[in-house]
Amino acid sequence: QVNLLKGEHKREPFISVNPDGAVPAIKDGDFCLNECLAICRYLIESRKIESPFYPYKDAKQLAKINMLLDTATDDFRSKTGPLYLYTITGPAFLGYPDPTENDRQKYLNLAFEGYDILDKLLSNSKTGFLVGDEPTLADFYFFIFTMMIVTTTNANLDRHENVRRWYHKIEAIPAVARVMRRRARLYRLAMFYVNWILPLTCRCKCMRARRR
Amino acid sequence: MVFDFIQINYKNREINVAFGEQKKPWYLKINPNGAIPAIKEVDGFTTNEGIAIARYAILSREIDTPLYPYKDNKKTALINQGLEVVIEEYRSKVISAATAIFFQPAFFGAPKPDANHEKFLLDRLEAGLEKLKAMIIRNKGDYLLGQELSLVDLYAMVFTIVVVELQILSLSSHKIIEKWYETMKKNKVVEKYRKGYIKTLKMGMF
Repeated sequence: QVNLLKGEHKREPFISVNPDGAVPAIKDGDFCLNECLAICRYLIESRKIESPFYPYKDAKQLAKINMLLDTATDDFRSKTGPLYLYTITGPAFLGYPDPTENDRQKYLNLAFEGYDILDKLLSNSKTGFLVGDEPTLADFYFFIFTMMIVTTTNANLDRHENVRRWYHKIEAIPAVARVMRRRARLYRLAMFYVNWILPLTCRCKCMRARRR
Repeated sequence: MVFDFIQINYKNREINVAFGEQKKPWYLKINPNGAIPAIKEVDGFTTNEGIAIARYAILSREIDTPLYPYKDNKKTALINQGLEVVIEEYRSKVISAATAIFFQPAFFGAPKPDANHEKFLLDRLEAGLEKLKAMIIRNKGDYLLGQELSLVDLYAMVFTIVVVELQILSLSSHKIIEKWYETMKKNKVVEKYRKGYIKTLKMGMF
């Protein structure tokens, strides 16, 4: 685990794994790699794990998954990201100012546009997953960015039935449920640290003291 | 570009976006979301998204190429890593700048962006170019990932050609990128693509 707040990701020993200081990153023996999709692909391919999750040997099925992964950044991340960055992580961890009510609404509307796109992608699916009959890397990738705002903001899925159903299906996968539990715990810890511990220990102007 | 590199047979059909060709029924049968580029296999299989198409072409034909050496897990992983950086930090910045500053006014009659907005778009683009520069410096070679031309270079080249040939931004203040651009132009396949792009652009403007 890397404490981004303390700038750990910019110092040794982490910086030798990842000179960019980016997270996530892995080190496999001497081999260092970052960027989350590259990491997932590498682990599956190097361990030769054959699974419909990322069928690296089936060019056609893989193309369907890759097609969605390539568009995810522009179509989905760029629409759901700002809500998370400017209303949650920015003010809490990066010293951003609290967004105005107008801005909040603007980011919320953008997030809903993202949901519209995802809803449309899912409406073409017969099984409730993005590609094929089982969850794939594409489902997981879209899930992460959905989960981030569903769990922390008021960007709820009430008006997006396909997304809601898909979200519950993915949530129920044991591996996902485990990660979500751990993440929720870490998030609570981080917010506790920022709201209660930091104001006592740090007089740095970039951190705003907030008592809740 | 990738198809020429790996030397497979293909037939090209350019889509006139200004006339909404990508919304016509025949194209939507190939690509229901109307996105370009898209391909249709001899057996009817269709897919879109540039990189997905490139990976598909190489994997389905089992082509060994330094562009995307899918049998070498580590090299492939580094290419995937580079591609993600180009997608996240560069592609969208080029597209939004080029769309607002050039394509919308030139082909769709939109007003040019005001000075503030243009500066905002260009600043973001400069930040994207800095990321490419950082890759070149870190990997200590002529190309984005080092000494060998890879899919990352081709992908970044597509967007850099847009920036340079549409004169969105000059590379003169980005010497390292300028040098990479000149190196890429020396490649016959890349240069053929670049010239083709300029020709298509001129015809479009005419």
